[in-house]
Amino acid sequence: MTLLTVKNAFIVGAVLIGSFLAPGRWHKGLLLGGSLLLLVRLTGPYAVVFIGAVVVTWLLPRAWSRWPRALTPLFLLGIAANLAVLAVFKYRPSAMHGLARRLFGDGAAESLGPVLVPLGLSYFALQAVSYLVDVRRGRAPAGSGLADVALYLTYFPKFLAGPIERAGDFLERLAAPRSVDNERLARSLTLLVVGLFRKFVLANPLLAISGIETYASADAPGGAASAALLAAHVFAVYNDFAGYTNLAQGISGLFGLDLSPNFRRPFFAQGLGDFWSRWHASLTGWLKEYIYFPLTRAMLKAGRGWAGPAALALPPVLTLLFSGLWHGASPQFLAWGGLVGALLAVEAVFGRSEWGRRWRAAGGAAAAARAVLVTTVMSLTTVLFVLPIPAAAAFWRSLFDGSAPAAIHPALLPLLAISLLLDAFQARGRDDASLVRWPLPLRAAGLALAVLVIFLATRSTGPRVFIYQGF
Amino acid sequence: MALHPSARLRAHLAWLRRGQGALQLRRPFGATLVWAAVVLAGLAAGVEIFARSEQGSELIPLRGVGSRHFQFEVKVDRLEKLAETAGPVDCLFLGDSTVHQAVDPALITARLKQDPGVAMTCFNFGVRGLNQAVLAPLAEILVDEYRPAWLLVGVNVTGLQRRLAVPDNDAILGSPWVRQRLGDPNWEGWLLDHSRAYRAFDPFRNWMQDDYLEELLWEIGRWRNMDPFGHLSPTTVLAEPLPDMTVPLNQAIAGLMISFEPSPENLAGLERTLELTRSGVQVVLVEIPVHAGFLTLLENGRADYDRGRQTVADLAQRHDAVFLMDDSFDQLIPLDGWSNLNHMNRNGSQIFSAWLSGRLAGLLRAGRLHAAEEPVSP
Repeated sequence: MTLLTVKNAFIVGAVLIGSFLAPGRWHKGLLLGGSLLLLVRLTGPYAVVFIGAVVVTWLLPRAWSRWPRALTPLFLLGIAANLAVLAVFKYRPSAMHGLARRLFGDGAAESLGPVLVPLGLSYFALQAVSYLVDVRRGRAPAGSGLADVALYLTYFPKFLAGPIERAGDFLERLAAPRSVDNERLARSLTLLVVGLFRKFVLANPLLAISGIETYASADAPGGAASAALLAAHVFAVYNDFAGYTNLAQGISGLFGLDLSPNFRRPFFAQGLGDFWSRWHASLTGWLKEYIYFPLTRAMLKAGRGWAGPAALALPPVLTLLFSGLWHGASPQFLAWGGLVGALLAVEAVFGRSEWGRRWRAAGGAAAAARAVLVTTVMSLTTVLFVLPIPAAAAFWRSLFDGSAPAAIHPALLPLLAISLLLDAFQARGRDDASLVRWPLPLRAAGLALAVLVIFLATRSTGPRVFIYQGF
Repeated sequence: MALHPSARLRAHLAWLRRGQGALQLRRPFGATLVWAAVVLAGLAAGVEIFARSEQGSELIPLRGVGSRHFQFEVKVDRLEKLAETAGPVDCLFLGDSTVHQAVDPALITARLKQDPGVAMTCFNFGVRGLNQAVLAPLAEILVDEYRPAWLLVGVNVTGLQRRLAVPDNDAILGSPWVRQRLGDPNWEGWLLDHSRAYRAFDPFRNWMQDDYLEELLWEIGRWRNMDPFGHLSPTTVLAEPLPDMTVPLNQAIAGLMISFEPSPENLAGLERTLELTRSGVQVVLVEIPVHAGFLTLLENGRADYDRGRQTVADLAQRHDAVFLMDDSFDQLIPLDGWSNLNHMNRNGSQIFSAWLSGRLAGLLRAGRLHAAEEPVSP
């Protein structure tokens, strides 16, 4: 199921027109109605799981504010319940299929097909945890209404694949009066165009060129050809997800509600840690806020052996292992988390050394070299996202097998260049929608060209779904 | 006291006009969109003008119609070009790949010009995999577009078999252009119908897919030697007069040909094509023979074949249409006239086309067929 369908667009359009015409007091209701409608369309019978989780997540803080003694058990119950739902769906899908068969009958269970993790559940669970933690920390009101909590957890622009919002921030934005003026409208429409451009003009062709997943059962071409496939895949995932985020931000902007950024030009990152603060930044922010920092603080607090290099090395490893598990319930994701965590730990330790300080301080060509090195290392780890461990190892070996240069798709380098150029423009304006500040003739010509190219790109028979909605 | 609904609506509209709703736009706004629309329109017009120019046309290797069936696309393109360069197309040969390889329109028109002296422009619209069920709606489209005097429908009797399902046909019938022409309006079909530039782009739409460009260029090269009248037959010669049953393809064909029975869909299609006579076109059915060796793949051999042929003959008779068939094809077309058991090669197509032109000349002389033009003066 993809968001990009005419029916979904119609629902969003109807809610948008309604929100423009209706008095402000109706807005939340309209947004919630649209969100629930799309939730049912996207998750089918599993919508009851989401609605149940919303109610439980909303009820628990109200309960513990009434019975403060029960705070800790209720808090832990809420965290455990949300993570358990996610874990059962992700790791024991057959059990859920059996449950679906019992609840909804054979036909409904079969209609769910092989996609057993309901769309959006991974993102939903993290945000539910965020709500419970933020309420406990006093960063979000315990007495939020059911509509507010439901909207926070199911708000349709971010439901499928984020950005993962922090409860306190989102509820604050939701409570503020919202309006759409010229600037916001232009910015939102620009984000929509940039998102569609990234998805259809960059991500879909790069995905078609890459086809890296086929090497799970076949030998990779080897040498530069393997490297080209990997580059195509990494840039495809980036543009797919960044494009999705821009679309989510653009749609939400039309409703007067800003969403957090998710990507900040990751291929310009100067270190592995820097890369992670730029790639899927809302997830990284969540992991930092709710796992990495508490873990580091706890270790430093514990003192003795825990406060030294261990406090630098362990938290990233454990955090990334959790991230790996969140992405998928297979050894390859766990291996990915362990590997990236270890790399981050090495970087953290190395960064404290004199060499590390010098390496970070060097500018000019060294900065470019750092960006290339970081992108290369992170691209290599990405192989584990696509291929099982043995196939990933074979793919890595193929990169260095000294094969004669094979032909690479002629469009690959131009597509990578366009992607980097778009990043550079956005970096220069410090905003994904910075193109809106171009002079009128350039803006109009750019928009016309983008619309034309997007239209032509949508004519291909390439994929329509977003990669990250699968997590 | 509660306000009347219309008064409440007026009050609400006034509230919106005062800019108190969620949408709070200040004038001026929309300049970027307006200018982008102007640029887009200019860009589209410029590209369209270029695509329609002589230089542009030369650069366009194929004007697609969105079917993903290259031969069908090439035939549509070539037929259009023939109509543009040679004027009205007077006769169309329709059918599958057997028609494509067997019928040489250039030879037939040359013979008809000699005797009985009629000048015709003919085109071979034989396309791989086209069965009668799909051919019927396509015939309607082509008759509507070109208004030919004759529609010669090649009937490959074994192609009527119920068990044969050809995936190519879905690609053709599902194409936006065909759907548009068959009364299922869709914006892409409209665009394909009206924009030469979009048709130039269409074959390249999947450029990013693995080997797509290579395949496209290979297909374009493959049909490059097709003559302007849509005919191309190979020079390869059938080696063995009997099918080699160790070959998987022959085994598959034999499996499909068990209990031969013409499919109701194909017969209904043929009937629908015959009904085009109401549009003023003269429909003639033409038997496209197979090599005798092919009949050994049928469970009951020639008896099955003759049963299928009789079904077609009965259908033609019911519609008062001519069905050109012959019992002497085995003698007429020698072994070296076949490229395989059911497709003729260049040599076979010359012999078959000469036979066909003779039969057409006979029909003209007998007044069963009428030429598009008056006989050419000697």
